[in-house]
Amino acid sequence: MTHTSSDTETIARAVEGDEVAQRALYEAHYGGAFRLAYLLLQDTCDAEEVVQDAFVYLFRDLRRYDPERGSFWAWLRVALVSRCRNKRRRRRLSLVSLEALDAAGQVPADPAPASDPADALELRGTRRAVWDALQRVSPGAREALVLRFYEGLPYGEIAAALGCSADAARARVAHGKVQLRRLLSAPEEGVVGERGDVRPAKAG
Amino acid sequence: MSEGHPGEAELARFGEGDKSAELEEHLRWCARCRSVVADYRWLGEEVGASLGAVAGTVGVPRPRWWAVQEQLSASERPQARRLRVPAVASVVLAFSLMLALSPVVGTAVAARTLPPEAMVAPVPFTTGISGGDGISLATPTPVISRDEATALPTPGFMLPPTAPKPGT
Repeated sequence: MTHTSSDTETIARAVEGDEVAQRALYEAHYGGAFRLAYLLLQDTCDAEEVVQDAFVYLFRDLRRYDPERGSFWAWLRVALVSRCRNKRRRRRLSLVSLEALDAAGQVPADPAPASDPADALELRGTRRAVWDALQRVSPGAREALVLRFYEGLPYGEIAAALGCSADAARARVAHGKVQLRRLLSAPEEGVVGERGDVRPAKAG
Repeated sequence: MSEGHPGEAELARFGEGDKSAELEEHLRWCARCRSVVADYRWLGEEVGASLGAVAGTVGVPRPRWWAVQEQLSASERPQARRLRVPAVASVVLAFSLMLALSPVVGTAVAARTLPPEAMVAPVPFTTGISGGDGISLATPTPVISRDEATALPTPGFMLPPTAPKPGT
């Protein structure tokens, strides 16, 4: 996402409290923010919620934005990645609760499964296999892979978004690729945990 | 390196620009590791293509600017409420203190204004309580001399003075 001079003017007016400018900024970046959040979370409702929260957080005090440190999109991206991570943690906790209910024989009714865009896109062959494998790598690795290969970020910016060093960012991307390669060569193995261990996939 | 070959992670990092002279030398003569590095480069391209394809297809909901405005307004309201609460609490506290201290203050003022020549003798008075209403039936108190007053038992309270009758 490029930073144009009109963006600069819009941001300057938005920082001063111009609501028209704030709305223009929000609508200009909403689509990109949603797509990134979706790729990180693979859920449209969660992605929408996270995007909303990120914008509210930034607009609460727009004066914190420093154009010297990067574009508005880069600033928004850091907030998005952080919120996606928090969302995943909360989801994991609620999954743990569901597992406890299941163990106690009190399984709540399953909601209707969300449609997979890969189905709509009719991804086939290798590309479909890669997409499926991406959903099974560890969340930390998927973050790094999305920022590197979807956003096309250099390691310095990946590090800023993930809150780590550039070397650590490079290591995470490499680690993600190792997981992907392992899953693609043995798809029956299941999901990959945060430490690269492969666990059996849950029976559908 | 195991059996003279680098590990998977090292080969994956090489594909990401993490080059070392030792690894470059190894890749010059090892076709197997060159193949793995090529795999990782291809994988990177495929990941980008897959993510791009899915992102381009996923339905983006309509932006809800009104929802952002609502949340921003809601986050400002509790701050205003937080400022009002201490102000109200301090007014209530000041009023309560005034009510609690007013009998003491009134008594102190009365003691200061009492003429030294006259002492007011406390006379037992009856209060009639009817339906919770306190009705004081205190009678006017006579003025007596200081010597007579010191002989009397010490009261637990002081009645307000009444004006002496003319000529006494």
